[in-house]
Amino acid sequence: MNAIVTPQNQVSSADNASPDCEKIVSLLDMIIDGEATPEDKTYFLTHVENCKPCFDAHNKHQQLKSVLQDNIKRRVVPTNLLSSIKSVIKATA
Amino acid sequence: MSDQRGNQLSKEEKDARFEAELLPILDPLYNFAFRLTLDEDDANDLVQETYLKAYRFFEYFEQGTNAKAWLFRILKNSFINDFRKKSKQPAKVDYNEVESYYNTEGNDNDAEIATTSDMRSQSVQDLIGDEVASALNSLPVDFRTVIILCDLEGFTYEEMAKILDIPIGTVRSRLHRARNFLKEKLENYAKTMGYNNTDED
Repeated sequence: MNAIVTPQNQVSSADNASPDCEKIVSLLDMIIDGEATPEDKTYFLTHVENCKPCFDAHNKHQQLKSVLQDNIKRRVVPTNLLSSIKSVIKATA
Repeated sequence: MSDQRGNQLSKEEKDARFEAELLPILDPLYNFAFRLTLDEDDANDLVQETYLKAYRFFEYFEQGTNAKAWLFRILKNSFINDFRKKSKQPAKVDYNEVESYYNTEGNDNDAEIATTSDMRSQSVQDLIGDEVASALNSLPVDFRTVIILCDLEGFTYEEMAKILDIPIGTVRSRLHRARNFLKEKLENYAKTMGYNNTDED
């Protein structure tokens, strides 16, 4: 769309992200989804204590997940759907 | 009426078990269908079709296993096989949702919400909600799907891999790319709205 540099891009390009930082980026999803192994979690926590860009990147990632959870409204199931499923099933041998 | 073998369930028993195990999942299943099709009628059809298939294959469902993942898998396959072929159009913006969202929130009147100049009022939250929904809806369906499954329905990577028939590594990378897409869209939006959600120190 447009060439606006996002803060994330700035971080990774301007800081010459270390291999450690690259590893953190690859762990971020697993961290926020609760899928990281205990070793990865420890690695992550130790790293972000001293790395502001990674700390920020994690916050941002977490924020995105929360924004989705808070803003995507659940749809209400149409009232007749349950009964029509039941009657289709009743009629099925 | 049939002459069933001893270990097979009567239709009544099967129906009762089916209803007890699978119908409670109607709500998340409908929401998944809606997020995929972005259309109420299509979602309705897709869910009905899913339950019908589930009923036909109910003997393959192992009781006590993950019924939700099983149904989501059936629905996802039905969507790919039938619905995607039918609707050639790309993801459309969900105007109905925007509308019903305003109507259900109902603490402000629509006119006020519509004024974009009033950026610091209650309505900011509504606008953000709409923007988030349309950013999600604009993602390619494979990306949208992993976000829905992970962030909105809370499936684990392993469950997602089963639902989608892809390796866990693919789940991970798809999720990562999907989130980057979304982040970019929403950050651009935030900038145009004069927010800068870079972190407070």
